[in-house]
Amino acid sequence: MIKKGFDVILHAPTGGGKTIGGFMPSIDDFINNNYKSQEFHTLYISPLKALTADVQRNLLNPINDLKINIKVETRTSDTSTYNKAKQIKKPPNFLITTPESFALLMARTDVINLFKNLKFVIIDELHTFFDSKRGHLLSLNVARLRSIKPFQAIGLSATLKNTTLAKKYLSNNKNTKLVSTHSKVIPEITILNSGNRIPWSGHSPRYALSEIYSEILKFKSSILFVNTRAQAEILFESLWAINNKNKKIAIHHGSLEKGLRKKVEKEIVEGYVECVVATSSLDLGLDWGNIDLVMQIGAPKGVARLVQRIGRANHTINTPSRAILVPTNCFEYVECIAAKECVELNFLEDEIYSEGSLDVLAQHIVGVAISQKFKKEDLYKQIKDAWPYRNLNIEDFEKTLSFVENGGYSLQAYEEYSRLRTDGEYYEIRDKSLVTKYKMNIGTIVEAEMLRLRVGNRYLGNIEEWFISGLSAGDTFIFGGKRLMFEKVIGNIAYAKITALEHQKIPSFKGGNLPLSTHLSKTVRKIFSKRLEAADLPDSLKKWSELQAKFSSFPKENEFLVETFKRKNGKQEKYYMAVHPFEGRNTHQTLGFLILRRIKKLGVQPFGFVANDYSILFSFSKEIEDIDFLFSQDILIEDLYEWLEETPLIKRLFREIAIISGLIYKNLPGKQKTGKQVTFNTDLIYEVLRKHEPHHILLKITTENAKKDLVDLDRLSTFLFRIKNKIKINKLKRASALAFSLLFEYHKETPDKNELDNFYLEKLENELLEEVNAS
Amino acid sequence: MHHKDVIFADKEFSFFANGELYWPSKKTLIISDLHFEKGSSFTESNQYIPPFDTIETLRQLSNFINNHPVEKIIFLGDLIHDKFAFQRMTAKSKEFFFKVLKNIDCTLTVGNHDNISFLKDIGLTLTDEVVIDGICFSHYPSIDQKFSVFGHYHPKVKLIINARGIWVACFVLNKKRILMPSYGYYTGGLSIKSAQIQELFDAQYEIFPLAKEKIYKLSLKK
Repeated sequence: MIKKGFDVILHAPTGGGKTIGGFMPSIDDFINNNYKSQEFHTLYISPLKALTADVQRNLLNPINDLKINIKVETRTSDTSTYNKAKQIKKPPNFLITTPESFALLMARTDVINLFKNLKFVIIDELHTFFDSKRGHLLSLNVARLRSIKPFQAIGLSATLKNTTLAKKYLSNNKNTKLVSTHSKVIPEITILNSGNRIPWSGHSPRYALSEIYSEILKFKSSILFVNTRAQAEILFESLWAINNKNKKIAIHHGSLEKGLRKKVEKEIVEGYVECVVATSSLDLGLDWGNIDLVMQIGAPKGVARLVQRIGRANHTINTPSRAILVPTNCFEYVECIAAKECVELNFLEDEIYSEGSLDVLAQHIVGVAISQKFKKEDLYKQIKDAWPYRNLNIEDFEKTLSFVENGGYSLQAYEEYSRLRTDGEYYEIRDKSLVTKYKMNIGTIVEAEMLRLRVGNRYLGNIEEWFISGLSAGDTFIFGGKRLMFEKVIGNIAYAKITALEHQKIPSFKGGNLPLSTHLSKTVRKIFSKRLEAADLPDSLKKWSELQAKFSSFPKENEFLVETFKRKNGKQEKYYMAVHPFEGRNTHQTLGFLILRRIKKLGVQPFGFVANDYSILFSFSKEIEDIDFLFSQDILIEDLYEWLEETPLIKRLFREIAIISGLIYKNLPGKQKTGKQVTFNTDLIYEVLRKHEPHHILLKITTENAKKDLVDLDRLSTFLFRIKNKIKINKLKRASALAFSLLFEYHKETPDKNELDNFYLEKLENELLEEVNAS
Repeated sequence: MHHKDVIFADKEFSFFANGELYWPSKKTLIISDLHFEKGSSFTESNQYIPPFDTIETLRQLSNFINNHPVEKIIFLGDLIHDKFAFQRMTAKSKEFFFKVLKNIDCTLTVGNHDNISFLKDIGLTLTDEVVIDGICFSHYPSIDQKFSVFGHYHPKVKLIINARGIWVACFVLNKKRILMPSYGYYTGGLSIKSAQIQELFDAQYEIFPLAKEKIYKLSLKK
């Protein structure tokens, strides 16, 4: 099938020889056609830079065994300038690269000549590209390459539910074939059974620490996956505190200095490290055959994600992977039951995809212009061949093009300083200085402002600017498993020293906390409504569920549970409303803000709200009668847009878009060493644009992105539709078991922060239990 | 308009929340570092920042003048961002500029960004410093004068709100000196903790942070 020249999706599990499989037709073609010239024959694009060397190694083994003369090289941002130049002069036959380095190749003026004999493009981990700006950038360049030289495309993926989507993304409606060798072996999943009581709230696995440790001891090598960097730091520290067997435990997360991360990875491969506590930084990655056990600490969040993580253990196709789930609170226990069930039924989420973002398009147009002069109509047609951009309309395209030229302001104030010039037919760059700026700023991943963390004379990693900005000299925190005392910031470096003092703060990792997937949320709802009593639960969970059933009720599948109660907080009496949509943190945050506005409209003074993946808890000054009004669907019209314009989140989003689209350049030639990188406060730009050019293309992109990423508008409106006329109100005397976890969070967020520690959690929990027992 | 009244050199002054220093008894307004056309200066590196900073700064100024009697304005230097800034100003901005300043006596104490040859043609009095009632107004601090009001540094200070630090512009005041915040819409800043600013303010000084249309007061000791 591959030989016939069709594009192909190869769907095979990790360890199933996917990489080699992807290269087979290419190697085959190379041999059969007696390909001799020094030209690019196959491009292999991987989402992870760290993987490229690994792929090269895996590929060279069979090539050397077969004694074929194929030159294989990698090209990433780590490749030296010398080697990059050499690759252009004498191209390797197979080139393993990343989407960014590929985009840079495509921006070369000699691109047509460079790829004139290209036969194959292989895209690894194809599913990671459907819903990301990186995927948009890649699709644009693949479409452009197709228009230069037709080739056979091969997409590889280990977890793929929506194969139609994969086909469309890879080759936009061409006759694409699917080869699936997916394993039928079901992973063995257990939920850790600790004798201790599972907390009602919080995200700490402390209650099960000794059981986690004894599991680690049973296996030669293990990975403990957590959801956030903060959890990684705490778990790592607590494990070492009880590590009397001196098991070699390491920590791995994306913010650690590259050198340190590489060292840990190497030590895992060599078998020196026996256990690693990791965040999503190890979700994808090196093919380690030697991991015996995967533990997921905290909620799984999504089925596909869990499968991917479990797949890290035991890379052989016929024996099941083994995994242990460790919920950190009662809700998470139910989520773990749901996830286990879904994995066993192979009931994975559909991949989501997104429409091509115009900030990425703006970046791409600059790349195209640098490479060759173009006609507007040709470019438009070519862009629409990239599947994420198939719906791009001519107005948006023209606005984006005009933005690329000189900012796209209706006053046209910058006409004479444009990036591009046109003779009415062709567009080309005005001067060559643009090339360096483009090269230095390519990419679609804009990280939060980071500072490098320096301790003594070495760097430990990167830390969020906003976190450091909240510290004063002498504050202590934990990073990379080390207790540190903050000293000062100079330029973009934060200085700290090792301390023996107890840490007060832990840098959190905002991106690390994924919301509960729609899919899992549905299963969780089902379990709550029907089968929780039937499930085989540990005693403490039974108690929790009995309390809920006795004093309130579990939400039925076709109803939306709203619980109201009041509590004395010091002298003040506060009214509370707990709702349980199970729609994930992002949706709940948005809904929370919108409901808060409505509470105000009813003339009731709101105090605030807190949300997690399962529930939202509101607090206000007096009883609310009209609860239906709070959740009516029209909340999504005026309230949503008013809220969006005010939230600071949108400014963060705008900053990302300003950087990707090239409105501002993060890096400029000769300015890299000054420390301060972003030259401009994008909040000011956002404000001024809204005032003077409310229809500017960047504002449009920001709103579009916000609807999807910030508020998950689709999910929110589906939810509101689902609960219409199905609201069930339980008026309670006190907080229910379900509401409790947020009541705790609520107290955590309110002023008395110092009081807060685990002792306080137990105290509050006991207080509530007593209230319940007293009645 | 939100402001704080202070006594400096035995005279009454007011610090306003947008960065204006007002001397009521003289009907005099002092503003510093407007940096007109900073936005458009970025076209040099192919960055097309929205070109509305000059008009925003002017609107703020015009708003102040409409609400307070102003007979004299002292611009404490760096009125324009670079030497071609005036040429880049749109006709609309220029027109607005002259309209706002009509019938007002305007002096510019020249700063390092200003381009004298252009600015003297537009009706401003250009000088290095202005001394009124023993107070010296200039772009740079006048170290040997008893009382000095100056700009140049764009002072900013970090406020910690909900465990997050935010940087805002501020006035810095002690018995001898007033350091003015920058008035331009796009201008950045230098931390008041930096050595350059610290060496100008001895043991006791006050800062007046500007945040969201309000001005606050903090007393600091070294």
